[in-house]
This record gives sequence, structure tokens and C-alpha cells, in this order.
Amino acid sequence: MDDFDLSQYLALFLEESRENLDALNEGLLRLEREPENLGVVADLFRAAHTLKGMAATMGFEAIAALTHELEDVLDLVRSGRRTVDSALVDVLFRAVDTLGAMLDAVTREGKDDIPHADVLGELRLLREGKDPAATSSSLAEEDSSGSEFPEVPASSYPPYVQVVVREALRKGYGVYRLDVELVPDALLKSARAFLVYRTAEEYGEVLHTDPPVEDIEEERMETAFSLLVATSAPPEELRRSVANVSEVASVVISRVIAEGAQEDDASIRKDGRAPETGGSGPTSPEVSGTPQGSLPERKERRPSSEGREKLAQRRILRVDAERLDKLMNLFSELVIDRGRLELLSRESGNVELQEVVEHMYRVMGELQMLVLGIRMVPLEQIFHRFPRMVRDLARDLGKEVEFVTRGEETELDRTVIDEIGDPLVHLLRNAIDHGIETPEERRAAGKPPVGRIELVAYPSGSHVYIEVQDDGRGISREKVLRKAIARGFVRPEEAEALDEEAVYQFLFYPGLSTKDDVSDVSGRGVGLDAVKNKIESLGGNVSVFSREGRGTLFRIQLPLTLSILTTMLVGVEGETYAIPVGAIVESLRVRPEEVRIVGGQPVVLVRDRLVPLVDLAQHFRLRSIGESRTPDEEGERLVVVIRRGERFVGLVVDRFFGQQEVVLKPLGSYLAHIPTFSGATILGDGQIALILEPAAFFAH
Amino acid sequence: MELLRMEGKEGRERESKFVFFRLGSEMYGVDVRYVRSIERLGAATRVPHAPPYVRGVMNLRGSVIPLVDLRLRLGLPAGETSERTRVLIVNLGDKEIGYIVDEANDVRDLTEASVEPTPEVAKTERARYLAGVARIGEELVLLLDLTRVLNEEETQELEEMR
Repeated sequence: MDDFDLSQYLALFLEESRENLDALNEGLLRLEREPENLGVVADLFRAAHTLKGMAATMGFEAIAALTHELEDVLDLVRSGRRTVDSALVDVLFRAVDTLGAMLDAVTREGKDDIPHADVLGELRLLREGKDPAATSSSLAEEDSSGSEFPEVPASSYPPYVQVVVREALRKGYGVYRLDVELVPDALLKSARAFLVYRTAEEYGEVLHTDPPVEDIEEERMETAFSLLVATSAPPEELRRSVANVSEVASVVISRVIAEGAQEDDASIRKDGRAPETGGSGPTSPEVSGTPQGSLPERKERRPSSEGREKLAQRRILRVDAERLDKLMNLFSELVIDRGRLELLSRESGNVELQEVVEHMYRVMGELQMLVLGIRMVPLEQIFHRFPRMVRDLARDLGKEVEFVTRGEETELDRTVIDEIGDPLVHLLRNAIDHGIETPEERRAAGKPPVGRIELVAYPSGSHVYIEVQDDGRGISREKVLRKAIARGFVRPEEAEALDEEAVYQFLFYPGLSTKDDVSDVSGRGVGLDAVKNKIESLGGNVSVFSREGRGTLFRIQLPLTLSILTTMLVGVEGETYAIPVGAIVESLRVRPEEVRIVGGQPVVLVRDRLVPLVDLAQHFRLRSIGESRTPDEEGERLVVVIRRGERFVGLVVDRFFGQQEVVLKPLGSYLAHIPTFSGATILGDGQIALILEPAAFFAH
Repeated sequence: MELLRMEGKEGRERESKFVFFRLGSEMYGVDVRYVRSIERLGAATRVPHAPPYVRGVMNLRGSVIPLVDLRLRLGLPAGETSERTRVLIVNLGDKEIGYIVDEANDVRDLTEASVEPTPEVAKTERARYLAGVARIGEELVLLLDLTRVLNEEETQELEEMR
């Protein structure tokens, strides 16, 4: 056989395979609702067949083999030899998930061989006309054999950790090690690690981290770190949630086992301590699936078929994302220069010049809309994975949910699309977990047993709105207020003046949970502050409306046109500032002996150029002259060299935080006259970073 | 004086609601129409090169709002931040500003009748910003005319830009 170099086709293979996988997922969801629909089966067969062919050509035997088995089962259904029931659909879903995991493995390592013997076995059983043994809607059962995950002995940890681990195991919790790898160019690694930590805490308790928490907080870490988590939730769920945190490249989960547990029991009692049960101690989540063999009742609803048509009619062009980023960046620089040019032309009094600049202004305005438009992506890209997620979660929690989406053709900037997924996932989980009541509760309340969750997006004016609405039990305004007062967020007298919306805003304060102190797995109030911060860092905001007994609505408002700037974030005296990368030549460390004084001005030699230094801490009067910061071990200063034409200036800062795309927010007419800053931005943690105007440092 | 709506129906006295707050030992009032909300003083990001009465900017539900120390703005000596310090988020036209006050108290109605013009004796630097003075029982409340407070700032900005 010829030795093709197939690597150039790898990217294409992966992309098309994922599309086929999406088609399989959507098809299965439809099949579940319409078990008699043979048209859907034909679609599924086609998607599986295409996937098999491509995988075989690329040499991915495992994918091809699994897809082949999938085809066989679908063929049984197609020819009427097997009816569609819940057990079958579950196995098919698991097969599709495994295929997804195989594609992930190919993306990461170029190989598709991951353990999948059990799924293969189930498919074979189906093919032979038998019922797949021991299928259940609870993933926890799958893992009870423990053979799915590699095992790690507890003795590989320091003694005090072992004690806690054994105690957790003794109490019946599962203990797992999560090896998390962030993407190579992740910035604010410590913030990401913190998010991972918080996500893990929603499932149970984090017993140990490597590197230790203090190191992570100080960002003394690389892109890989690991957590030890005790939980009674299904480990695959934990792994998936952590893997869903943005900028996480991969998560590998191993089960921690304790050997020789018996002898150590005595020593545990002597010097051991029980794992602290804080606010989110490990609890077993409610797992009550629908009875086997019956499909959950679902009303037939077509989510916006017009939306789908609109998507299909567009001609799609594949564009290299990196090129778009460069385009956008150059454009942002141009926008800044345009402002200055306009000012200069007005001052010059040259009429012809002014006319030219005016025309340029208009052209650039159009160009700006076009460039931003290219980066726009329909929300469908993130909405499409939700129906499956909602279905799985509802089943796990014993709720019956009808999930409707509308407006997925609405477009947002690529950066926003990348980041809005997490908050939406969180809100949807909340709606299913805390909003929608169990079918019994709903019947008792005179509601239909099937709850309804709507995810709607629509543009309006210069904003895009995304709403998550449920018809569940609603949020009690009084409870929120009481908790807010109890936590000291507001005084009782002030509380009277608050309108409804303002009261619900307290939900976004860290530490506020209205679930009565029964420990909960994904408590409302835990993480809602992260949702708010994320949305605000995208230039938007979120508000809540609710009626007790009737339901709750979360409304996210996002700006339609964004000024996005790629900046470098630096720290000066505890504040964070953003420097547009367009103006940056390089950043370097300077040793004290390299600094000379020329004409009373500190300068440093950079590639045969004398670059004057400006100490931002002193320039901004954040630190007084003479007061020196604790220097680095070697007494190095951190310098960012910026450039304006042929002139260079070195800005001395305390810390480098790395590159980040930020949403430019105006400082408001009040502060607009300060030449040093061109605006501000809200960072992922809710803090404000002022954006430096490089030109201000080159004044005469 | 546009603070209180003077034209009443059938000549009835009109009432207006005022937010009362404290600066130092003095009580002030401002028309609640302009006050969007009252917040706690959270983290303020300093803004270098801003006028001295600008404490910085804060993140309010995704908007970047300038924080002005109202004491300094009115020419009073600086105060100390305490548990009771609050920020009045004020909206005037398209401008949104947060005014830092020592304590925000209740919202009350004021009838036209209880308002008196600023007494001559009290003509200090502050007096420019006052729309009048109200007597609530024993206490004297200084009523701020926000439009003057804000407009003054605008003129000042323009001067600085020259």
C-alpha cells in the first residue's frame, strides 16, 4: 500500500469527523423522541458510514471498528429487526461519546486507541439480538468495576494526605486524581487553576493539590497540575466538568486506591482527622433515572426550523483563525491612530488634509463593521451541544425537561462565543438542578410534570440578549434578602429602597447560597459570581427575574460590536494595566548595572539603542520617589519597551501577566480628557484594568 | 430651581422624594430622580493623573463608573472610609458617576413648604452647589443641586484641556 503523507489531511479529518459526530448526536436525540422515524435512522446510518470511511482511510482502526459495530446495530433497526427503546438509545449514545473521546485522543496524541471494550461489547450484544446487560442511566455503575480508569495507590502521597484519603474511602467516597493540563499559551494560569479547583469543589472535596495551593496562587506553576478529589459523584462527570473549563487542554482521571486498608484503620483513629465538611462536603447527588424500557414523555417541538434554514443557506468559507486575529489587531491599531490623525488634521487647519481624513474616517467605519462582522459566529456553535447535556443531566437528576432553543442563528464575536459557553452551561445546570422540580412536586403544585427550559437569543439595538428561562420553583426574593442582610451585604433600612432586580443581584455575590444548608452539589450561589465576572469581562451584564412557584429568567446582555484589543497585562503596585501589543517592541528584564543615567534620565541600552525608562509606579504616583519596591532576587527590573515611529520608551513595571484580548470600555466623558489612558477593561475576575495610551509617553 | 417640582396640580403642594446622606457631621439631600442606586464602596481602581477628588473607577455590573469623593468635591476636608461609607450612583443625562458619601440614610418626602433658601450666613464654597436648605425637625438638611455639581465639573474639565 502506498505510504501517503496523511498528516496534512488530519485537520480536515478531525473537523469533518466532529461534524459527523454532531449529526449523530442530534440524530439520536431525535430518534429518542421519534422511535418510529426511519428517516432519522437513515441519516444516522449515513453519518456513521461516512465517519467509518474517513477513519479507515486515515488508518484509525479503532474508530473504524467501533463505527462499524454502530452501523450494524443501526442496520438492525433500519430493517425492522430491532425496535428502538431506551436501552438501545443509551448504548448508542455511549458509543457516540466514545467516538468523541477517540477523536480527542487523536487530536492530542495522534492515536485513537483508548479503552472501549465495554461499549464494543454492548453493541455486539445488541447485534446478536440480546439486551445489553446492566445498562443504567447512572454512569456511576459503569465505573464501580474500576477497570475504566488507571489506578494510583494512596501510598504515593505524603502520610498526612494518605490518612485523609483512607478516611474518605472508608466513608464510601470515591477518591480520584485529576491530572489537568492547560493550553500552552494559557494566561492567568493561576486563575484557571482556581476555576478548576472551584469546579472540582462542586462535586466534593479537594483533598490535595500538586503543586500546593500557595504555589498555584502565586502562579509558581507550569501548565500542568493535579488535584485529589473525594466525591460520590460519577467520576466521568467530574472529569467532564473540569475538562469543560476554558483553556483546559486535557484532564486525565485516575482512581486512588488504598492498599492494606485494614491495618491502617487503627492508625487513622489515632492521628487521623475526618475530611472537613465545609459548605460543600461530599454528598451523593440525587440519581433516580426513569424506569428502564420506557422512553420519557416528551412533547414534540421543532426548535426554530427557520433558524436552521438560514444557517444552511449561507456559503461558508473556512478561514485560518490566526490570520483573522492578525487582521483584527492591525485594525485596532489603525483605529487608535485614526483618532489622533483627526485631531492633528483639525489643528493643522489644512482643508484638503481634513477632507482626506474625513473620507478615511468614513471608509474605516465601514471597514470596522466588516472586520468585526467576519469574526462573528452564530451562537449555534455552542447551543448545539446543550440538548444532549440537558437530556443527560435531567435524567441523572430525575427531572423531566423539555428543552427549547431559539435564535441560534444570532451572531456574536468569536471571542465572546468562546467564552460565553461556560456561564451558559452553569445557568442551564442551575435551572435543571434547582429550578425545575421533580415530576411529583410539579404535579402536587398543579403544574405539568414535564418542566420547560428555554434558551433564547436575539439581537436588539446594539446588543445581543441571551435568556435562560425555566418554569420551575422560582427564587424567593425574601430569602435572598434575608441572606444578604445576614451576610452583611446590605443593612435592613437600605433593603427597603431596593427594587426587585437589585435584590436578585445579590445572588451574584460570592458566598450567597439560598439553598437551605443541606449540602448541595451544584448549589445556586456557588459560582454565580464567576458567571457574572465572566459576562462582565466580555462587556456585558446579567440580570435575574423570578416569580416564586412560577419560574426564573436569567437575562444576559452582550454588546454587539466590540472593540477588542490584544494587550499585554502588567502589574504595577497591585494594579493591573493593559498595554496594546501593537505598540510593544519587546519586554525584557534589566539588571541594575545596565541602567545608566544620561542627562538626568535613567536609560538602558537595548540593541544599540538608548531607551529612556519611565517607572510607572512613580509616574502614576502609586509609589513615592525614593521608596523602592522589593527587587527581584537578582534586583532585576521588568521593562516593556514601546515604540512610536522611531522613538522608544521603556515602561518599568512590577509584574508581567501575559497577553490577553480585552474588551475596550470607554472611561466615560468624565475621565476622557486624561491622555494617559484610552479606556478601561474588566478582567475575568471582575477587576478593572486601565488601558494605557502609548502616545502619552512620547509627549515632548 | 428645578429640584422640587413646583407646579402642582390645582396649586397643591408638590412633594418630592429625597435621598438623605451624611458628609462629616452634616446632612445632605439629593433628588431621588437622579440616584440610580446606592452601593457599598468596593474595590476602586486608582486612575493616575485624575483630579484629586476622583478616587478611581469601579466595576458596577459591567460598567466602568468613576468614583468621586463628594467631600473633596464640595471643598470639605477628606474623611475616613468606614463600614457605613456608601456610593450614590448618579445618572444625569448620559453621565454616570458614583459619589462617595459617609453614610446613606433614608429616602424621604419633602414638601415645598419645608424648603428655605440658603441662609446668607452659610455662604461658603459649598453654597454654590446648594439648591436650598430644608428643616426636618431639629435638623438642617443641605439640598444639593446635582446639575450644578456636575456642570461645574464639566467647565473645569474644559479649562484643564486648554
